[in-house]
Amino acid sequence: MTEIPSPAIGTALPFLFTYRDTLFGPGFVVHVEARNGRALCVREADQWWMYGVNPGGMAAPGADPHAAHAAFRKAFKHVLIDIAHEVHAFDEFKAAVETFFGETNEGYVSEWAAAAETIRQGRIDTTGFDIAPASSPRSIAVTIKALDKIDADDNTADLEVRYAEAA
Amino acid sequence: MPRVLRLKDIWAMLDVCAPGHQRRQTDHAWRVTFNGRTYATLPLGPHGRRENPDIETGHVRAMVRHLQIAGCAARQLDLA
Repeated sequence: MTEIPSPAIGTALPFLFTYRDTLFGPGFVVHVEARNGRALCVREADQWWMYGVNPGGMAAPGADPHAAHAAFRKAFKHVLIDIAHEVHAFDEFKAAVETFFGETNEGYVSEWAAAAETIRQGRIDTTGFDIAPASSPRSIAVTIKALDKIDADDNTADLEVRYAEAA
Repeated sequence: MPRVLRLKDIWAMLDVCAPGHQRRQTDHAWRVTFNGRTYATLPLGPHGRRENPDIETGHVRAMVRHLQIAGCAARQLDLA
């Protein structure tokens, strides 16, 4: 039996993610759509780490890239919930979420771009995730959700995660 | 095995490398702010053992890069 070698320490995978969440704040229900956030998943000496690039102020680990992403997704929602606990009104929540998502971890920007180039060159096995252009536009939309627009689908985590490929 | 650092050592590093930083405990994590940048997911540590818990080193690597204090932090802590 041939054993598949583990990726080398330092292997870096560039991701684009889109998450949609419905949350409760003080006196409001809010829909958050974070589109084409950037994260870099790195095989470190101990495990895989998903480092946020945008938003830059977060990270999460896992035994493999899928697990690291699952932890990252959970951490992202926890940050939104923490913000919802701290604010007093929708406008305050919206501003805080936009600031959080807009912060760039400059320390990972060049590594993310280099990793997107390795995807373009076909040097990374991209099995398991779709691929999207690294230049896909990033945005965050924070909107009030009317009570008559809430349905059972809001109980389900909604996400897309794809490899970023340089042009 | 995940590589870890003690929370008190992380606070000591921040006192040196990010003077005037703010840290606040939320329901899910510590939130550390310095120079207008915030790292929002520094773990609280396992339940029941939060006085000086082990923190996975990857969080500290991400935090010091985001707060732009990586050079100083590397002189204070083993971030490998």
